[in-house]
Amino acid sequence: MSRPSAVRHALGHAAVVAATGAALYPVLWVIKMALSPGQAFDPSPSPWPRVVSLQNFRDLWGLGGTGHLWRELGNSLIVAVATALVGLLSSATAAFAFSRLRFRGRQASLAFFLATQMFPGIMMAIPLYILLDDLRLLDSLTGLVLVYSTTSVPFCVWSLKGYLDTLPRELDEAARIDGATSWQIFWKVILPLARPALAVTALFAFLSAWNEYILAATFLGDARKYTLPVALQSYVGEYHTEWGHFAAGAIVVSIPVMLVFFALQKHLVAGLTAGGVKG
Amino acid sequence: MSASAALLALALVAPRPVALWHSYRSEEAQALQSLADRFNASQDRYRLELLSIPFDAMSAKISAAIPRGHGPDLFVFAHERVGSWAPSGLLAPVAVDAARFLPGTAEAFRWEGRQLGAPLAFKTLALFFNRRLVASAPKTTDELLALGGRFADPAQGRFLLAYQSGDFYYHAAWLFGFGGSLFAPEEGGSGPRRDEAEGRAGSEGRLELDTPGAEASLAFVAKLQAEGFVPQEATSALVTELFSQGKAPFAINGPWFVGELPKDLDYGVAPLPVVSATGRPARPFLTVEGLYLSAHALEPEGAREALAFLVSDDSALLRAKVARQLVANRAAYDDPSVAKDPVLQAFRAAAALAIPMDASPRMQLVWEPGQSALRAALRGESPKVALAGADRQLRALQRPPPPRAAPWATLALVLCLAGAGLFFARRRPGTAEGGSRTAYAFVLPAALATVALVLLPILFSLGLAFFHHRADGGYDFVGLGNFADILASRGYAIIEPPSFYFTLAVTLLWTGANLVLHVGLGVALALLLHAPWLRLRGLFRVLLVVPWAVPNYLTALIWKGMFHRQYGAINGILRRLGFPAVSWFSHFATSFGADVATNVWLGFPFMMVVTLGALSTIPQELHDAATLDGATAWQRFRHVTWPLLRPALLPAVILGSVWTFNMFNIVWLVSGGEPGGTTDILISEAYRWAFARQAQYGYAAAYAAIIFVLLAAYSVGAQKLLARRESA
Amino acid sequence: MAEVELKGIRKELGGNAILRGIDLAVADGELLVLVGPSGCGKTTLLRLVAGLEELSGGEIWIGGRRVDALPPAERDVAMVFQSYALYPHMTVRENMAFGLTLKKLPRVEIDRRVEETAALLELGALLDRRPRQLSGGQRQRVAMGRAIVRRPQVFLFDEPLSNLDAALRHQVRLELGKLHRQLGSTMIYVTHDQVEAMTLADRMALLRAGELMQAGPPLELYEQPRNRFVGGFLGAPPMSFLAATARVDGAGGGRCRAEGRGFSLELPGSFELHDGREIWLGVRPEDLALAPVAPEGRLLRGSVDAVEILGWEAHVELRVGDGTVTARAEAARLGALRPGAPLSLEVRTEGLRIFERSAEGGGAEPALAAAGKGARAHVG
Repeated sequence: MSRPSAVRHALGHAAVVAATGAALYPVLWVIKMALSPGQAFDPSPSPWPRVVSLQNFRDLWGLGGTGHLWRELGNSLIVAVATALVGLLSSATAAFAFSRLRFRGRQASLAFFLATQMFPGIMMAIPLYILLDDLRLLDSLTGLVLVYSTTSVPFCVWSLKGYLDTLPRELDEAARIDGATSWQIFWKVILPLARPALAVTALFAFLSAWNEYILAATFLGDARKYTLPVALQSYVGEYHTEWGHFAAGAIVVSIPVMLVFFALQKHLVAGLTAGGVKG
Repeated sequence: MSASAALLALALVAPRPVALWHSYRSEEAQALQSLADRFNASQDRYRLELLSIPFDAMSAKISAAIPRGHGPDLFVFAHERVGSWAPSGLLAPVAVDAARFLPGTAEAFRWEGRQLGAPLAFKTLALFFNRRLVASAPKTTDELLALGGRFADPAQGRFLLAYQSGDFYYHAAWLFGFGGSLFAPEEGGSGPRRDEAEGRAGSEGRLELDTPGAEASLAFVAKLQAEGFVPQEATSALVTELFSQGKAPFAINGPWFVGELPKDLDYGVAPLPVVSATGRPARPFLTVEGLYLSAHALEPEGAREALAFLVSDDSALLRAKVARQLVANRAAYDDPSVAKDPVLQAFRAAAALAIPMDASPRMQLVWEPGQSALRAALRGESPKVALAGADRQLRALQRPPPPRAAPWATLALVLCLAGAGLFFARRRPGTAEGGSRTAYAFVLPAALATVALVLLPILFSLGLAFFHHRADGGYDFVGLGNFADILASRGYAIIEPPSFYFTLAVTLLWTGANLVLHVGLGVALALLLHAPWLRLRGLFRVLLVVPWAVPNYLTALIWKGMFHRQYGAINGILRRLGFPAVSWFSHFATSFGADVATNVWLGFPFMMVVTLGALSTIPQELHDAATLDGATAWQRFRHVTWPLLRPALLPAVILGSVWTFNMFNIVWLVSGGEPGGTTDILISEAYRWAFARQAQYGYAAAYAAIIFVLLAAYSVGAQKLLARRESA
Repeated sequence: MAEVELKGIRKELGGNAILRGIDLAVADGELLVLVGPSGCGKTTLLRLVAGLEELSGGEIWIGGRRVDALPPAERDVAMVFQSYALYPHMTVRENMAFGLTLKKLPRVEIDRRVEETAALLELGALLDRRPRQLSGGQRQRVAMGRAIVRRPQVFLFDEPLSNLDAALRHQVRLELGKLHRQLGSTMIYVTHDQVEAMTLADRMALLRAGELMQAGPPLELYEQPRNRFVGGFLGAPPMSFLAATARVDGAGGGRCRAEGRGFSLELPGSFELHDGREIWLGVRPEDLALAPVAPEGRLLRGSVDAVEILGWEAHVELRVGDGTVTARAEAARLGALRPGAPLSLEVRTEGLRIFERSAEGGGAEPALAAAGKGARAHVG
């Protein structure tokens, strides 16, 4: 390796380390609050805890919390994974059609998907409540999955379409001549090549369901269905917030996200389409 | 035969459920639970079932659930909402013997002659003092200020009095103490103001903030801050920190403060001091938490029974003992163990002076202008000017609704527009191939779900934009009146902060700044994380996603803390580098910058991950070829990577800008619009109209509709760009 | 094996006519090369046969079956793409087997056919590699293998050699010719390279702006161009054109001359020309020879515009009047010929082609008459 590139690589590493430091710096306070005994929102400039205690974490599973952390974690996982799957499947087929097929209403539907993102979400809680009620899906995780996956579908469709557009069209044509149906082209040729985009989109859909609590708290009327963010938000009161518990809970909430991303990021590799088409 | 009889018997015997919703935490929740257990054990007809709901979601959930028949039988909430909920018919009357409760607490739930709730407990403010530093609480403000020289030393982080001086709820105590009020008497009325005369912020008279008393109170707190007696930008966390560390001998706070203080801290509680200038006591607001009976309760009889049980003196005593709750029942305070509790007794005394908060929806209008006048005065503006501004804002918020309109003109206009839209849509050259059944099958699941669960709610909300939401829950058709009010900037000069146009400009700036930084940072980091020579790639990738993973409610508040003038980490770093500390939220540019910094931190991982995905489509050969051609790293990026990245990135950029445009909670949590509402974005206005200002859903929906149109126009342009790329 | 018939093929895209009525037949086992400048519609025509585009008008018949309404898979054609379009996530074996798997052929049969084809193309050792692990030439062979393994009625090639370097292109071209002889199947081959077209084609079809200019065996197109465009397209360097006027001496069967600015050439044979007719004179480079002395009527005089020396051979551009002709000559014989020097060339007038000259011809004016056939000897 030549001299200048060694310097560049060192600079690159330094930049990544600096960025990671900046990204994690505010999180130190989360860790500090979680590890400090008590429920104060510690505003002091030092990000290090004065006393370290695991009491807040113990409380999450015990009396300080709802006492059902595992159940809430389970509900959250079910909802988020189902949202990612439903959102991904329905938007992958749609993205394929938008990218590869020409049909009347194509531009209009694309615009429609985009347009749904432009309406401020906070205005939608009450109408959605009424709708879910009419569908008899209040109080159910299914209803939540439906709402979350549909609200994430527009992004998923657009993002996947943008990605599929970069896959060479000759691949579809070769498959069509090989006798593949549209479904087979989608399933056997395009989807395997879209792995990175699927990973990104899955993460997005997963997270949009994972961290949401306002709609969940509004729709769910049964504590057994509560998701983790709902339980977590219960620590925030009108006058007083249990910051220690909240921070500990926030860490518990974040860890699965990082595990999911760690698993997905393996698919974010270069060269998946290399060699397929020349030029 | 016998089996079904047994089943029938079981059904008759099985206790019927009574649902109770509450937002209580820890000890209060435990006390409520043990009361429910006792109630369930005491009889076998009903079973009281508790559901804990996050406070954030409670009010919206009540409004949505009760009319649809999914609400609870009973729920716990503060009395301030009676005036909003009663007219829309959510509440059923309950029987309460007012004499059993502390004065004013049962009355707080009276609305238009009906008792619509039973008091459980009250919240008000009192003076906490650290016994290790002072022997007793001062009786007057002069006595208090006289101690200033002894304790206050801001440079060392020491103060006389810790309280949230920038919060109008706390300031109200001074306001009333200085003879100020919120409601002016009607024309021709004279004598004492109603609220003071009756010990209650009455619902008659018009809202008015600009009074001599208010001016004196603002001057008083501005002086407290200027002399370094109180900390700047005090949050509840900072107050707790200062008082429990002994860095401030006094604090003004509510009963919840007790739970935040260390167990070993030796402190006392006393009513707020008398304002020496007027000789009147500082009088905080009194809020009463009570039990409401839903008008749509499924078990009204059981609910009444449970309610009676929960507000009984015995139950109150348990709540007072277990949770140290400031219960509303007089009898509880005579119990020996409660009588010995100095905190409870002090608050009881404070409650006698407190002014019950007005329960009419109009009260919700006070907070915003009150807060902005207070903050302006603390920033050094003249109290007179600040109050005049507040009153002007108050008048703008109270502007009469647009006149009712005949639906025909608006309907005709909408139909014309729709017709024109269809006409132009049809004229566009259609695709030659026409429809493809397969394509529709592929799009159908996503389209169907989106139409049902996204489009319908949007249409519903858009429809509201043509209506005015009356206080009684009904709707008046006002045509385009809401839009006219907003676009004509009624109540404000066009370039004044809360006007539509000013806010729009800020919103555009906000969106642009975020977009540039999100994409710039995201792409740069993705390129680094994509480099084959980077070590520990997987680890760095995961660590850089952390800001996206941690719930942003918490991290946004941590960022706000980092921007604190005195205690924030950012000013700490600046000071270490030899720069002067910055008062971040006192100037538009720095306040806006704080918002942007927070949102960039929260949002860059998304762009980074999307870019990582997009980068994986670019074959390495292309890079190698460019390298062989002698391209520099920048040229490679500019001419090879970027053009290939763009199609996959563009959707994320368009959607990212749309989301940022509507990214309201960051601004809300970090700058809160400071200074003076200048950093608010359009969506904050919509939110305020819907949730903070008398539930004006019509205005809120009109704002939402305008935002929708703006963003649609933006995306049409963006889509044209995309289409051009596609055909290229 | 089957013949392909195209009847009145039209294709429009966004209001633009891409193909304006093409009638063409490919005999069973024949290799037809579609050739023409870029944008002439040759690739579109191929894609229409494949079924990748929809017809705007006309009919396509393959093996006596009308296929234009059928999806690609049911037309029993295979296509080799310019970019190869290999499935990047599949091995060579899977790439080749993909079409057969979709047809639900038995595993054993698929394996047998893949092995067989791999042997034919010498891909045996590469079967378990992925496309990105192959060289350009290997990828090209996999693309062909994927077509061959399906044993289609018709092979379609879309500029399959254009991504290879010159040396490899020559080699693969020879292999392709051999393959065609071995398989004996019907093939349609699109290229813009006339050398490929001339060497591979049983028959070639020359397209221009969506219209068929001429179809026939390569030599026929070369020797009897139906119009000025065909004449000018084939040959390297291409045919030169001089604007001239016909002069007929005397009445009835007299000798015919073409007069232009700075020249007067005798025309051989019997052209049906009347006196004063405006014509284009087409001259191929090989029909011009360096000749200090030549009979008047076979002589072109002019000044040298440019000399390109290619080794043994050289191309000389000669300015004659207001036109230019290109001659081919032995480099050694040119000596120190500089631009601007006067030069005379002898024209083998038997090789001259004559085209109509009119304002509306647009470059494709029809040939007026075929000149005498006969063995051509290089005069240079």
